[in-house]
Formats: sequence, structure tokens, C-alpha cells
Amino acid sequence: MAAALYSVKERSSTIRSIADEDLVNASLDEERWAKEALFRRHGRPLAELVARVLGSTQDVEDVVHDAFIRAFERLDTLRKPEQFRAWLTRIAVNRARKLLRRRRLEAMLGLARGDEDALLERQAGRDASPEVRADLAIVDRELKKAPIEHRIAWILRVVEGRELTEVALICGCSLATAKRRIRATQRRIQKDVTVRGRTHG
Amino acid sequence: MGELLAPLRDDLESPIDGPRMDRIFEGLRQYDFRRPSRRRPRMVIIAAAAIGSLLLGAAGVASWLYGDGRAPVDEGASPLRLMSGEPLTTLMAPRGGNSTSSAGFELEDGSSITLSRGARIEALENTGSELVLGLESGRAAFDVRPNRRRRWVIDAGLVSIAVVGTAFSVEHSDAAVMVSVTRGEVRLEGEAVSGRLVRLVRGESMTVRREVAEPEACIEEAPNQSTEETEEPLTAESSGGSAQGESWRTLAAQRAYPEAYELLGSAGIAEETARATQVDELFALADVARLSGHPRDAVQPLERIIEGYASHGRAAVAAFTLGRLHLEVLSDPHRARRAFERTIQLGAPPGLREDALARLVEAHARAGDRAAARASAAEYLRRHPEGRLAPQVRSWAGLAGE
Repeated sequence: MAAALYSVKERSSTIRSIADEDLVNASLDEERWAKEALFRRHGRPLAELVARVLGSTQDVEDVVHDAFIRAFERLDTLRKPEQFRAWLTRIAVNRARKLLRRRRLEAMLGLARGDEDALLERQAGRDASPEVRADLAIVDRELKKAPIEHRIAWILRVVEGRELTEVALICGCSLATAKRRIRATQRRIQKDVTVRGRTHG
Repeated sequence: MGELLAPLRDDLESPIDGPRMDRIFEGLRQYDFRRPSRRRPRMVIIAAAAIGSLLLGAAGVASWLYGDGRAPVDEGASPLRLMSGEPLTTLMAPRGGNSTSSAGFELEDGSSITLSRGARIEALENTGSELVLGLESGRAAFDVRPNRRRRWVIDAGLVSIAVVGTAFSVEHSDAAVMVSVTRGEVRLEGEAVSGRLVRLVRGESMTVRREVAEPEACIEEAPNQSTEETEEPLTAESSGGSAQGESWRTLAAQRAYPEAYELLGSAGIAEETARATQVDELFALADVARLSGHPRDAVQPLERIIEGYASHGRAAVAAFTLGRLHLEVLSDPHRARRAFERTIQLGAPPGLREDALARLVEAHARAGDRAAARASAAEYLRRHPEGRLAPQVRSWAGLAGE
């Protein structure tokens, strides 16, 4: 096996430079290190996304664990290995969407558990000003009121910074629909808070 | 109005701690990492490869929609610019002239865009790997130079057109969107598109009509059902301001607070506070006063927000700001503690509530009310035993040794 020829340190830096497509192909060749590498690369970002979609860390472990299992079990059905991240995210988001629907129904019936420990306002950095915290709280409030599909598309785009085409892929909709969902949520939020793109150098 | 920068995650802490990720990893290691993934049988792979090579010309376009994992986008890949070096943001053709008038734009990679009279294009996304252009209306012709690392997507409302190395035109009218291909091939997507996905090649064209998409238009136009109090838009006309009124707002927007205060004075701040009809304006008046070195004049606009707009999402911020003003600048701990109590009553978000509770302890202590300080400190430590201000809270309440 090629991996055995490298020291652990060499392998780590080498693995970082390996594209998803090659890790997927290696996983299909029963290379366990490749699966672990895919998890280490995508596990945390996926868990963070799921927590933000749910507004809570409850169930995140189950969703992420099950998403990876499902992805690895069906890896041979992924026709475009370079799309692994979007494909994996779609699996997890589908599960999170169902959980969110159930929770909203429970809330309507007065059965809400109130474990909202992953609201955006709670994730503000320690040095964040009260104004920023209040702005994030406003965003949380509007996201709670938004339709679930709009909420998911907006979080993917504005919180996570995914490209529009990837948002459409993950949400299983057209680009036009993804854009419309994002814009609808943006209009609600921008009544009180301006969200603008970061300028880089 | 508050402002946040996207992507928001760059300024957020992770909601997931290390132990949680370790548990997920362990679970996977025990369950799945040991299990072999199903592998496509070699014969099928060879057959698929053979067929794939025959279809390469057509499949190549589709594969480009989702990037090329074998050739990751360069870290340093930059947005596409016009040939002149200017950024590609909004392109417009003049509305005047005759019906054949057009405007051509050359891009730095050799691609070109020609807009017919009245057409307008906006760059919705422009990174090293993707260019998304929105054609709001009118007719545009595109000649796209092949580039394996950059996807082009044209969003024309009803449909989006994904391209690589193609020449085609799009006409977006009120009634329909028409796409014609003169070289290469494009892929149309949209809920109004038959089968939701269509491929057009050289010589083909397609018209997508709006009546199919009418329900979507209804969704987009759905009235806002928010029950929050509405406010008038901030315009010179609606505020009823004079030229001086407009000027202080302009200076405040430019953060020229001393100049804005010079224009208004203490009396002007009081007048504008009484006249203001929205929270943003009151915050601006408070900023003009505070940040020009006249903190006492900031009290009235902040109090007006707290009393007059208690249900507004930023009322708690106003109360907190007032509390800090009284405590740290005006040395009035009695008024400060009332403001911090109000911050908590107004339903401040959890992070702000923690700060307000801590400051309340300090305000009680400085007002000489030791009992209230200890009671508030106990509340703080009950809610936030590991809170960032726990050491200061203990010190203010005289609990340092406990």
C-alpha cells in the first residue's frame, strides 16, 4: 500500500494535498486511511453546519455519524467523486431538515425542548461587541421564522460561504430557486441588519 | 443599522467541541472504517470508461458544472475583470439610440459580452472558480473562452444557463426567456424548464415562458406578515428634516461626529430626538453625542429607544449602552443599574444578558448597595459558573475569597 511507505508526519502533509476525488477512489479500493482522511477533512465543518441549521448541538453527532456511514456505504454510487463534499453535505442536510420539521411541529404543540445552544448569537467570539451579539440575535430570530428551505439555503450561503451552485446542489433545487430562497431570507433580515460580503485585500 | 460580514462563520466560534468530534470519529472507526466500501466490478468500470470516452464531448460540459477535482482551483485564482482592469460588477447598455444599439464588453480572459439596448447584467458571484451573472432584462450575447477552472452561470430568472467555452445569447423579457446557441453547448436549469434540465447545442434555441412559473412569482411577492411595528424609511422627505437635518445625517453616516455635533448642538440633538421616527436615527443621534465628547446628550435618544421602541430587536442594546454610559462616563451608578436591569427585562440575547448581569453587579457595588450586588452576583454565578466575567463579578460583590 502506498500509504505504508510514508512516515506518519509525511503522510499527514501528503494527505492534505490529496484531492477529494483521489481519497474517494482510494476509499473504494478499501484504503481505510482514505476514509479517515475524508472524515478529518469534512467532519468538523459538516458538524458545524448541521448545528447551525438545527440551532442546537443536540442530534449533531447522530446526523454526522449517519451521514458518513451512508456516504461510505454508497460511495460507489457517487458518479463525480470531486463532488464528495456537496454530496455528503446533502445527505446530512436532508436528515437535519427532517429533524427541524419535527422540532417545529413539537414547538407548535408546546413540546419544544428549548435546547438552542447553537444559535448564531451564542457563537459570537468572546470579544464580540454587544451590538454584534444583538445583530446575530436578530438574525437568529428571523431564521427561526423563515421557511425551513429558506433557512437552510441562507445558512449555506451567508453563514458558511458556499458558492451558489453548491447551495443548489445541496438543497436539491435549481440555481434560480436557491437564489430566490436566499434573497427572501435576506430581505427579512436586512430590515434590521445589513449583511454584506467581506472584501479581501 | 447593524452590520455583519459574510461569510458569518469567519467571525463565529465553533459550536462543536473536540470531545464531540472524537466521539463521532470513534463511532465511525468502530463501525465503518473497518468495512469495505462496495466497489464497482472492474468490468463495469471498463465498460463505463469506454462509453464515457465516446460521450466525452457531451459529458464534458455537464462535468464542468461541478468543478474538476483533479485540478483544484488555484488558491490564488482571482475574480474575472474587464480587459481594462476594472472589476466586473454591473454592465449596462444605454437605453437611448435605436433598436440595434448595443454595448460590448471585453473581459481579461478573452471572453466578451454584448448587451443590447436597455440590457443590464450584474455579477452575483465572481471568484476564481465561478462567475455567476444575473441578466435582469434585455438581450445579451456571450462569447465565453474555454477555461477548465472557471464555471460561467447566467441567471435569467426563470432559467439559469451553465456554460463552458460557448457562444450563445439570452433574451430576458417580462413574458419569457429565450436562449440561442451559436457555438458549443449550454445547459438550462429551472423549474419552468421542461424536465427541469435541458441541454442545447449549436443551432438550437429554447423559449421558456413565464406563465408556467407564475406560482413562484406569487411566493416571491408574498406579503410580509411580520407583526413588528413598521417604521418609515429613512429618507429626507419622510423625516421632514431641513437641509440642516440632512446634513447631520450625512456627516453621521460618514462618522464625522464632531462636525455633526457642531451642526446640531445640544438643543439640536434634543429637537431631532423628539422628531425622530425610527430607531436607526435615534442611535445615530446618540452616536453623534457620545463620540463627539458630549455623552450627556446621548441619554435622551437612548431613553427614547428604550421607552418608545421596547419591542425593537435593538432596544436591549440601547439599554446596555445607556447603562455603560451612566456607569463608566457619567459616574451615575444608580441610573446605570436601572439601565442594566432594563436590558435584562427587554429580553437581551444570552451573550448580552451575561454582560448586563455582570455590569449590574458592578453598578450595585458602586452605588453602595452591597446586598443587591451579592444577590446579582449569585444570579450571575448560578447562570454562568464559568462565565468570562466571573472573577470580576466575585470581586465586585466581595466574594473573591469564596
